[in-house]
Formats: sequence, structure tokens, C-alpha cells
Amino acid sequence: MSSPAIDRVLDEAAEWMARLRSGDISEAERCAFETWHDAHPLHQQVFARMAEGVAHAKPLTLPPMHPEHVIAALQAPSSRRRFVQGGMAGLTLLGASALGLRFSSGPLWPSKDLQTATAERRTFEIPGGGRMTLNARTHLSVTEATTLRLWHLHTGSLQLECAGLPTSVETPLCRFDAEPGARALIERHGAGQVNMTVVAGRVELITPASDRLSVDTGQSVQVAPTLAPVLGLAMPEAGAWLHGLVEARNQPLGELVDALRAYRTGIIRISRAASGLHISGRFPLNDTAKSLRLIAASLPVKMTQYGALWTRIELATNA
Amino acid sequence: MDFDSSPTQQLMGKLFAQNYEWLCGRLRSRLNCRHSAEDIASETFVRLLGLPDPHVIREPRALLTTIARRLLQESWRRRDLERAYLQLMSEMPRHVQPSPEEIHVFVDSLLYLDRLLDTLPGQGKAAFIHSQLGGLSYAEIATRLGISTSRVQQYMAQAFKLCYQAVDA
Repeated sequence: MSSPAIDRVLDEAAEWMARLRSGDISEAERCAFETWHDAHPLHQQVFARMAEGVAHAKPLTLPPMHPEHVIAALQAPSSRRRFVQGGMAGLTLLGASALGLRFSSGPLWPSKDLQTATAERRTFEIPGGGRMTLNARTHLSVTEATTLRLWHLHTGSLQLECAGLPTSVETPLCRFDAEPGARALIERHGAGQVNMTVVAGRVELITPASDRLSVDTGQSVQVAPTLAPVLGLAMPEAGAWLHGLVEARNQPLGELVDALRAYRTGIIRISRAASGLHISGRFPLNDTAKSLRLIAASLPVKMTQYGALWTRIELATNA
Repeated sequence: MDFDSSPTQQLMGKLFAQNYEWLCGRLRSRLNCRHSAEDIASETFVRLLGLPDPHVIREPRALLTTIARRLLQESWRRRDLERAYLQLMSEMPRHVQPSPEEIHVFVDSLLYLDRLLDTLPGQGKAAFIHSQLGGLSYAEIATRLGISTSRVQQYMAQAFKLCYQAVDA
């Protein structure tokens, strides 16, 4: 989708983005940016999409490499003819064996975006107290950069261990305010639903209308678009991913597959009918091939695989 | 191998049945490795599945060849980046060497940046990396690269447009 109007907005957005990140923007310029930003929905859309692209271009997995090394690596000569930029969605390639899991601790990287890769879990100490553990394929960014107390969960799930200072995690549907001593699991589903389980302490949920709901130890809350938050009991298996497992208790197969996807390079496709089947059991996240075999063995499904890269699950035709 | 009865999936099944072995054969002769040939062939069909309308494919083998060629180039590039990364890592003092899985994930990240920034000149790439990963100000980048700050600003704006285009709208 391109047109002279969009091209112009794209140029302007790029100039603004560059000014904002220059490290020497003045207050007057910042105000001018806000005026431009608020002037038209198209400005906002283009800028938001650009910001998303920028956030995505700072993968977490690179920090051990010094910027100079990254530059040197990118300048590596091509052993074959020059690489041609393709338009296809990125998928990993040769030798796609299941990635082993790593569980690493370390200081908070000096960047505002935290993103985990497929099959990667990562724990971060928050300066000032507290810890965040991110599940695989999770994207979190810091909204409040000076105090590092307000975070935005874009996709995926995390465990927050709040210590030292109150810490908040926001999503488009609501914000969670945790007090020191609280430990909570927060999940944001692609479909928009947000779930939170309080394992210890207390967390408050704040809706966009500024209503507050207190969630205590052993409770969970489900927040869906346009519905009131639903309070319930915590499911003990909510934190199983921290130990590299999915513990399914009569769960829809579609949900189990969603959890496995974040740990598997390659595609898993599942038919709507198959995703409604219910399943129980323990499924290892670090061995998605085994988990898929377990699924095939316990449910009336037909599983078709093409190499390690594509799996299709559907109801067995003779079930 | 059975598919649902949807016409698209029947078509995909037919394309696969008619062309998978052929593609494996082509790739095997180029790659001298059966395992890699099958991986690339599988991946080629996965990408084919991602196309908006397979019914308009007139020349399946030509299209498959194009996709496979692109994948090959990507995999060679990945190997180049991996080699460069390992070389650089070997020159650094490290208490622990990265595991093969860690290397794979790091190289994934490099490959992503490599593709994203491909159309930028070398200095543009360097400026973007310094800003994005190193957190340097444009003044600092300008000094380091020996160019003007307005040039840095230009490179960054170019890079941000690439970031915009990389997002699936």
C-alpha cells in the first residue's frame, strides 16, 4: 500500500523518528513532533508501525556482541553471489533441530526492548529491585525509562517478581500494579485476551476506566476485550513453562499447540476441529517433537510432517 | 498424504506430489547433501503455502526454483555470518563458549539485521547499529565514523523506513 500521501508521511515519520533518537533533541522539537503526531491518524499509524519495526530490529539475543562486532559481521563478504533481499516472511533454515533451552540471568540490558527468540527463556534483574522472566517469543518494552517501573507486554508471557519498588505491567486492555513481595504470571494472547495469576502477594488490576480490582495469592483474572475482568482460582499449572513444561488439564489442543509454537522453529498448522479436542498430560517445551508425538498418540488426530519445518494436525478421518 | 477437501489444499497437495522429489533432485545435485536438499525443499513448499493465491501459479517449477534459489542464498549468507561471528567470538576472552543453540539464535539475529539493512551503504549500517545497539548519540556516531551529524540523521531516517517496511502490515 503506497501512494504519494503515504510516502510523504513515511518520509516525515522517518525524519521525526531520527530526531527523537538523536540524543540531542530540544524540548521545542519534541513539542513539534507531538503536534505532527497528533495532527492526523495516518501520522499516528505510520509512526506506530515504524516504531514496531524499530523495536523488532533490536533482538535481545545480540547483547553479548559489541556493536563493532555486529558491524564487522554484517560486513562479512558473501561466499556466493550477492544476497538478494526477498519479501518472504522469515523462517529458520538448514539444520533446524529443536533449539535447546537456556535459562540465563543477567543484568538488564541497556535497551528499552526485551524480546526473546523461539525456545528462549530469559531472566532479568530490574535495577532497583525485582526480576522478570520472559517466556519464549515474548516482547516486552519499558514505558517508563527513568525508573524502569512501568513495562508494556506486547506478546507472550512473563513472570514478575516484584521487589524493592512497586512495578507495573501494562497491556492495551489493562494495567497490573504489583507491590513488593508479589509474584505474578502474566500472559498476553494473540487474540487479545490477557491472563494474570498471582502466585504470591497481591496485584491490582486497573481498567482503562480506572476501576481497580484486587487479585490476591491463589487467584487469577482473565481480561478480554469488551468484557468485564473475570476473577477465578489460580491454576497450579500456570507457571509450568518456567520449568520447561506445559501441564495440560483437559485443555483445548489449540492452546497446547500455541504454547509449543513458541518453542519450535517451523510451522505447526492445526485445523479448527482438531484445536477443539481436549487433552491432558505433561508436554516438554524443550522437545516439541516429543510433545507432538505424545499428542498424536493420545488423540484421534492425523499429523502430517514435512521435514522438521512443517507440521499439520487435523482430525483423523476414520475416527 | 491427505489434505482437507478445500480446493487450495488439494492444489497444494498436488503441487507437492508432483514436484517435491523433482526439487529434491535438483537441489541434491547442487548441494551434494541429501539432508540439506530435503530441508531446503521442505522449506520451499512451506513458503509456497504462505503465498496469497496458489491458483494463479502458472509455472510451478519455475516458481519453486526461484524460491529455492532465494533460500539457498539465505543459507549461504547465514553461513557467512556464522563464520564471521565465530571468528569474532574466538578473539574475545570468554569464560564460557556459546552453545550451538546459542550460536544459532545469535546468527538468526544477525541474519535478520543483515536482510533488514541490506540496501543501506556500509556506513549507514554502522550508524544504525551504533545507535540501535550501542545507544550512541548521533554526535558520537558522527565522530566515530568521520561523517557529519546530518549525514547520520539521513542514514537513520533511511533505516527507519526499512524498519517500517519490514513489519507485516
